[in-house]
Amino acid sequence: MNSKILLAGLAATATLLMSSCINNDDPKDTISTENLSSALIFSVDNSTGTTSALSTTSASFETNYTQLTQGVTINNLKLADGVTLPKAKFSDLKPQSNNTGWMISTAATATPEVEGFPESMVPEFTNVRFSSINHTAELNGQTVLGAERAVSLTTGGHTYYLCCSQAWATGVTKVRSKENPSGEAFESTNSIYLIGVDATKAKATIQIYRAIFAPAMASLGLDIEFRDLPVSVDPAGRIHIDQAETFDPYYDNAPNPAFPISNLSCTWDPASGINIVFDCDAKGGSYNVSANMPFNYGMNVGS
Amino acid sequence: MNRYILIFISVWLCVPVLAASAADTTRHRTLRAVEVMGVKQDAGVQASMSTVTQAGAGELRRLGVSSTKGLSEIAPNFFVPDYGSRMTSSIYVRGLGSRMDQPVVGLSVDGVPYLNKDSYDFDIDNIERMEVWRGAQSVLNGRNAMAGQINVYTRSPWSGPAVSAVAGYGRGNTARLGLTARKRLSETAATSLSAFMRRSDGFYTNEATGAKIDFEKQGSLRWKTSWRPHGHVSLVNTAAFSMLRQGGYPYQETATGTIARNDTCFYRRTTWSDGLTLSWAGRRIVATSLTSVQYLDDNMTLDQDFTTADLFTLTQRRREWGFTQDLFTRGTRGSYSWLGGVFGFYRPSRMDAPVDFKDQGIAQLIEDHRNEANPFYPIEWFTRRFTLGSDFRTANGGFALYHESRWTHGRWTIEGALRYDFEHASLDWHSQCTTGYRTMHVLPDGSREVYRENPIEINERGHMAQSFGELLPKLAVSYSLGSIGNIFANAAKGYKAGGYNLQMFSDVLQQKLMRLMGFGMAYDPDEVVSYKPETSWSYELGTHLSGARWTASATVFYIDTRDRQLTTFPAGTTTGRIMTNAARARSMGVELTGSWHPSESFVATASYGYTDATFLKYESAGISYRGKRLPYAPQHTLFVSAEWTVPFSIAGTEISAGADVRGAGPIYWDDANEVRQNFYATMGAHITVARDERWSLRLWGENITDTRYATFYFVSVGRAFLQQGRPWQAGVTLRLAFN
Repeated sequence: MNSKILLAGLAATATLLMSSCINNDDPKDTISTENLSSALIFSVDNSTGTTSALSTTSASFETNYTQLTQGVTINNLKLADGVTLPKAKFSDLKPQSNNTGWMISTAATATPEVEGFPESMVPEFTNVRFSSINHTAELNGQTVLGAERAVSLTTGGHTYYLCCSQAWATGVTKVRSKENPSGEAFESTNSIYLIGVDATKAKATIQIYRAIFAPAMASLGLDIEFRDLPVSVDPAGRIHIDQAETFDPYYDNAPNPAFPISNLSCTWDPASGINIVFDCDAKGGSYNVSANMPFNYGMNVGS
Repeated sequence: MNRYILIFISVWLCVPVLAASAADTTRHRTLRAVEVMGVKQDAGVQASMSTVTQAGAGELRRLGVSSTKGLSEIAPNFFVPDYGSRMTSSIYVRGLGSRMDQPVVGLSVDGVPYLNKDSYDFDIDNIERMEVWRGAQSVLNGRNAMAGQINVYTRSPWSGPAVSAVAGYGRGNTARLGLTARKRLSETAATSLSAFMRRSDGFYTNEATGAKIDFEKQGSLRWKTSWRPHGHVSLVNTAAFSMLRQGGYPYQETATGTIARNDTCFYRRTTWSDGLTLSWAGRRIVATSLTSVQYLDDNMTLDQDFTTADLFTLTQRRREWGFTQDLFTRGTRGSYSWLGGVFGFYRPSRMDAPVDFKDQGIAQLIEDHRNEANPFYPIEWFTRRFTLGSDFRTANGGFALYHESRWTHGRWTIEGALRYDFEHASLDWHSQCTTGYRTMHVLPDGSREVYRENPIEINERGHMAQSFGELLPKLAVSYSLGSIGNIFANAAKGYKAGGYNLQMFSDVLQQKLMRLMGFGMAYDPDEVVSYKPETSWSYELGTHLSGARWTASATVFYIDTRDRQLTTFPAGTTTGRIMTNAARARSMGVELTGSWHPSESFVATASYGYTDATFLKYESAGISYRGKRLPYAPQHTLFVSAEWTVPFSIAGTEISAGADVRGAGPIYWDDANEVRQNFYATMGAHITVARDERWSLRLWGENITDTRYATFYFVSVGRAFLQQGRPWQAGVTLRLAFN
């Protein structure tokens, strides 16, 4: 894989997919707007727990620093009853105080402004929640910025979840020998995991920078890719990438059967973080690799 | 080693020794008019408060010294190994030295400071005097005189015969020719023009081609003019030009014991300089202006793997200018004397340094490693040769203010000095590479099909800059013992400038290439190539003694070096080295010198240096080297010489015969102290027939015991190499002088 594209992909969550500007139309208020050009969205039938297929849309997020409110605009919001709201703008979400590093703004009830729709035709939403966090890491001598955005809102017995189509996280990667599972784990905080989901294909890619699947890989700085992985979602709004069968990872844009991967289980909670575990048969042994990576990893936050 | 030390100690005990003086130690003591203009370091008073080795023209001629390398071991703890080419002027003093950009020893010729250590190694004819000042000399000489200062003074056009010539021939088809013409243009002006050439076939053979590998051809011109238009005003201008072409780099692979490579190695250099010294001398004050311009144009091309394999080659082409201006005044008022001045310099440079990867280099260094990790999808490079290109523009400039004051009260002399040195360094770099590879897929039947094409295009530019300022104090005190000598002590801060190690850029580009292939750690170029200044505190305690027929000096020293500049591997990695100021070291030792001339016909000199230099703090790739000895610098240096002169009854001639022994070691070649060269000694001898200064014929021999020793050792691409010291040499030198 071409590292130049990888690096761009890593930064894409903050730059290519999002553009921001300061809007000072109202001279009394300072407002910033972020535009998310590629967002994932799916719904959950709260009565049955059935989830819809992933689809793609776009959204924008507004922060009014003067009024201390946030707003979310979702484009082409398709409701379960078949209605599509072309541009639903939720305003006046109030930030909740917390010391987790996340900015969480909520509204118990909210009726969005929808262009071209009379107010009477716009449903009321409940439990509107917008979570956002910015985080950074160093890669190839550059600082990369991650911007995680997650929205959940409920109407008509369905909860709708929206997030970026890519996310990356870092944390403690633990590598244990499968021959000696009770032995001490090799730990490293160097790896960065980037998830990208293609909703139209229902496939995901996991890219691991400075991958460590065995202790001997710690100093090699290899960039490894898991491609074409099946994707599913759960009623809690999480995205799952699971493949129990053995597959070949990609290295330098070519599959590498030399260290097959199996029993992959990855959970991406857009409002929390990424958790991944898999087995790898590397040279010199079989290893279990796991990493639990909250998006606020490394931030000086409270519990 | 013990045997050599025992011999030396026996000689030292039997021969009362004194400090080597600036006086001509040959039998014929001809007083010469020495041009002292532009001299900041006083060979008399200041030398009594420092440690300095001075050699006059006669002694230099007697020992066959015509370059700074020739004083190696003669000055104790002063070691200049002869390896590589004339570009590799690595000078070690008291354990301190540098193989990289900035030297630890300054060099000036007739007051003109040489800004680039790559031009330090050259032959000069007509040397009047050479001095090796040891200890921190940064107060008067500024940047890069952290461990010492070498001053070379050429003969004044006012003195000497109208025409002098030298011709010599020796083993290795080594020939030298020199011609100097002096002319008094008027009562107030004199000029001299010197031409010098030297050629040699060399001594080492490239087994792959059968040709000598260390051939050399060099030539130089020096035009010196002195004008005294007024009783108080004098000017001296020295213009110099030199050209050099040599093979060099006779590195022998230790596994095979042979020198064999298939690509060319050479070093070509052209330099010219002009230095103008203008002095105005009043009753109590002398004001001096020293202006110089220097130009260096060189090309170093190396078979970088030094084997017959087609791995990779390096070329480094450079053009550099240097401008210096030094304005200083010195004066005396009763028991108080002082010197103060301002110095500025500017040094712009352009360098082009491509690295060519060749067939086997691509295979062994890139393809094999990559394909071992994924043999099912191996890669094949587009072409069997590609270039990692780098070009650079650097500019260094700075200024300094300095002052030195000295008081004498009774037997006591106290000296205090301070220098503020400011420097700004900038680098504009451009890296480019157009290449690529294809990923193949190995099919079940063993055949291959193209899986993917991977073009690589690198074209990046960057700019870096940094500034640093240093305050450099010095304090010295001397107590006179009357006519017999003195005791002195001094403490001084030394300074080696920061900058950019351009040779590290090949690492940056290689890491970039690896990154584009999906592995390795890419580092910020600034982090990889830049380094901050290195500083030291130097302390000395010593004595200079002399009698009617002997001189002796002894010095003990301690040097604390901080922020030592070196290359390391960051913790946890074994690839991707970076420049850093990562180490602290200390060096301590003793130096003894002496001479004895019991009669007009015999003179003996000796010097011994001991240095214990170790790392106090240094870590690379997670390994600590604390307590390990600093590599490349010898622990002991030894020099002993004796000469007898016998008058001959025919036409006023005399015959002199002399012998000398030089020794150095042990020398460690690596930070871990796992490989070393033991102490070794070489012997020289000569017989000279001379008549006054009209003519002399000298038969000489160097390393007549044909001692085998290594002058350099390194590891490259998993192979160990060393360079052997030169084998025995012998020759004849004829000197003629006409008035």
